[in-house]
Amino acid sequence: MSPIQFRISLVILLVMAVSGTSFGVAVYNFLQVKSIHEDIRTSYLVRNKVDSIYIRKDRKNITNELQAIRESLEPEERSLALSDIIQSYTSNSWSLLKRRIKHFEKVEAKYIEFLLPKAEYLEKNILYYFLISSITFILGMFFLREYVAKAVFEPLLRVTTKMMDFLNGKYSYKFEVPPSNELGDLQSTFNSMAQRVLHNMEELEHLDRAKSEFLNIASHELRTPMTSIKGSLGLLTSGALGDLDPEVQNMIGIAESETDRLIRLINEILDLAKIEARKMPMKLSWNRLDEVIQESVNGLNGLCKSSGVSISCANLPDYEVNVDRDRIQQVITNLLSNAIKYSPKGKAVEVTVEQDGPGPLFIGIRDYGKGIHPDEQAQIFEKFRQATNSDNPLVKGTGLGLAIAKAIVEEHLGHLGVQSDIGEGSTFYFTLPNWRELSNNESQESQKEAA
Amino acid sequence: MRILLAEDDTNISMIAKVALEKVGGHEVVAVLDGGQAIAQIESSDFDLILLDGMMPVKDGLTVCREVKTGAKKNIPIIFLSAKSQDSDISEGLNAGAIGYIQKPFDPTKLSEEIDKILNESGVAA
Repeated sequence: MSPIQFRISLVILLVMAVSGTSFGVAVYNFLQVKSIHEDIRTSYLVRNKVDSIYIRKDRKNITNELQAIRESLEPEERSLALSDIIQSYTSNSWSLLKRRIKHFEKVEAKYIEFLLPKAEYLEKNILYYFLISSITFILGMFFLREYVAKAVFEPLLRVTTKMMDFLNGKYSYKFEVPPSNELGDLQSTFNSMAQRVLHNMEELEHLDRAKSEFLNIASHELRTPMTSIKGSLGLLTSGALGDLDPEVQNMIGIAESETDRLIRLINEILDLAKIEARKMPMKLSWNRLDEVIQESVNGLNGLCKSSGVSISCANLPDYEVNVDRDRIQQVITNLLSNAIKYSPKGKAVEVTVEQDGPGPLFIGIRDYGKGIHPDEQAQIFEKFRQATNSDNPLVKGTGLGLAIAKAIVEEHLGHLGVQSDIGEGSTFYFTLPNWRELSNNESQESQKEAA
Repeated sequence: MRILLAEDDTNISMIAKVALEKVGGHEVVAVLDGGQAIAQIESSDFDLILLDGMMPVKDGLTVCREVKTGAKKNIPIIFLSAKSQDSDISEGLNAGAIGYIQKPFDPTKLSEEIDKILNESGVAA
């Protein structure tokens, strides 16, 4: 048995032994006193009966009653005295009877004189034992309470406080050498637990550092040679180094465009890795949403022309959003260029901004392409996945655009999703929870400016 | 224009040199570390200095500060660096540079960009 439990059990046992025994003795004495009082009552009854001999006429009944009482009388002296009375009564010797009654009364008086002090003594005993029992019980319980408070609740409170400290980030905490009892077990368990947590945290920090280091080195080491390749190819195709054979020009053109793709892929992989590793903090500021969208649209003029698709984004409401402007532009550009790539020639891509009460803003980008099969809808947000039903030769992405867009939107506590039906086209939408309406003055001013 | 190009990556240095010579028609002296850059500046005259951020011996910032506190502090300096944080850029400008061109740069437009920075800062090209 563990120490604290053992001590508590011991105290309870001791209290029970002393208090219980005393109580038992008190009860026993009480029963004795009760039987003495019974004796005294019987004695009075007998004397009354004996006195009534002279008055009553039913001799036979009297004889029987006295006979019955005689058998139960103790000690012997009393029953003998009563026997003598019965004998004198039945033999009608009245003078003898009178003497014997007197003798019997004397014997009874003597018996009662013997009983009274005994009863008194027992009554005192009852009081004493009852007191001992109560006091032991009360003191025992009091002691127990103090002990439990000191040995259990105080340390428990200390442990709780320390655990709260740990929870609040004071990781340096460790218990003193724990006492060898249940609370000590708790403390040492906590110590081991804390140690494991700290160990894991160190490991995580180490991993985190390694990850950052890898990302930094990868960024630099991958970008440097790509810069040289791209730069030299660019100089060659620009004609700055002299004219090239058409075939050579062709080959270098392929190398250059594939280099562009590789650079884009490297940048996107690193971006995604950084966002996922939370190494790319969002620089939040309030921006006009229509401006952010318009800038992304402007950046895609070239792609629009070459693919014969237009973008319609008229009548956007006057909202401001708290976002990392460059990153959200990256999201919109990603979604728009996807929409353009998957649109048939001559169609438009529509940008809409909707809002439902105080909830988040919904920014939707709708195309009239072939739509995405429901089975594919979830997969397209995964890395290196692309929908397969494009006729457009321009679709030659990295397969990371949507994954990056999703990561960025989620960094803004928003959600990126798609609604699409085969044959009807697709709407990619994302939500921004942090927005506000432009105040009237500002929007009027901007309208004036626009005018 | 006579340009000093301090860049430790020989490939990038070669590309920038070719770009500046063939596209921009400038004369370029290329060095591979900050120490050589200082030596060149002291022994020869330049119209512009292009500095990489991270270089052996002396990094770009150190070279920039030394030039700006020395006898030839009037030579304009432009950084050509892979560091892209706002703090890096403002540190470069605070050290006395007139511009900051981020790597990777487009070699066909490098001369154009340099002219633009020189015009904007009011230094005659």
